[in-house]
Amino acid sequence: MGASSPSPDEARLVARAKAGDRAAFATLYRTYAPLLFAHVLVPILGDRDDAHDCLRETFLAAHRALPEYTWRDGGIFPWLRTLAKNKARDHLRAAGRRARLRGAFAVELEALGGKADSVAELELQRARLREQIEQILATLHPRYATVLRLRLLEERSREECAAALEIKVGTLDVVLFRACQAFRKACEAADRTLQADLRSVVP
Amino acid sequence: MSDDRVPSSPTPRPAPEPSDAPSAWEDELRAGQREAGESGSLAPELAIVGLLRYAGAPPSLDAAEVEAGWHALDRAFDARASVARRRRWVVASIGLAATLAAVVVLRVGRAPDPDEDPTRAMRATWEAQFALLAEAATQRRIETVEARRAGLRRERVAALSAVAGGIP
Repeated sequence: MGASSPSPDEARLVARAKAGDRAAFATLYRTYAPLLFAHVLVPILGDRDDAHDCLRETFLAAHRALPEYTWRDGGIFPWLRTLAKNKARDHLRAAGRRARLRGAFAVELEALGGKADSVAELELQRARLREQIEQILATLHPRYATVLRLRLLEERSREECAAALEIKVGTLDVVLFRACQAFRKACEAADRTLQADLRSVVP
Repeated sequence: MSDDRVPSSPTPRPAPEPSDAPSAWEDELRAGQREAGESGSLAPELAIVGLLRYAGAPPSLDAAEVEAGWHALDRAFDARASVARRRRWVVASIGLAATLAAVVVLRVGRAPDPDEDPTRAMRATWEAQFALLAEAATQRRIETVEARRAGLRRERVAALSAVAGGIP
């Protein structure tokens, strides 16, 4: 992750950007665009292209609204995050249900990792998420845990996964599908509600 | 697990490489769903795929993508500033025209005040100059008329002298 907390210079940087300093705004963009993209927009939208579009819209809106922005101790990230969520919400409204089929997982991320209202909390959120996932994987059938670990956590190819599980590649699809279902059921059994309701995440 | 059904003859298909394209994962899950004899929305399974892939490695923007994004924004800001400048010019022009129109309307609509008439002095100057010119012109006209009368008299006297045959 780029930044862990607002730097002492961030207030000055924001003040310069508010005064119209394009270079200062560029620094804010380079600092926070990757964080918003990875931890806010892709989870809500589930699609890199849509996240790129919303990222651009977010910073256009930020540039427009910056003169009215009031500095807070948490830095500018929470404000940018709210703008990004608003842009993602607008995009989802326009896209309708299609967005849900693209693999949005913001609800699941908050359910397992908790909320992250600051840059520092993003690290904590991801650490909590990994911990929760390991706990859930430990409750699954070893074969399901293995396919989820290899194929999704480690991004191994289908051939590698099939070889590791000693099954055919075609069979791997079934195992992966069943493993995803089993993972969700295990989450629900652990009383971690994974309601597919974006309204609880997107303001 | 009992629900881990293995199809007797899995349908071979080209294996998609690990990709960020959600449709590739949807295809993979759809194939598994079909082989498992099920149907319906894959949204819950796709969400789990997205979540676990995020936990493994969050999606990232490389330096080139960040810079490309910034340059696109920079151009958009320039375009917006240009539009704003044009808009300010238009507003200023309209304001100036409206102000001039208001001044004209007020001056035309108000009763004329001789004390405030800016053409008064000019009119007086013109009248004085005209008076001088008129006097000189009248004098020239009188002289011209007198000269012509004298000429005519001389011509008549000469003519009559010729008719009388030298009669004095």
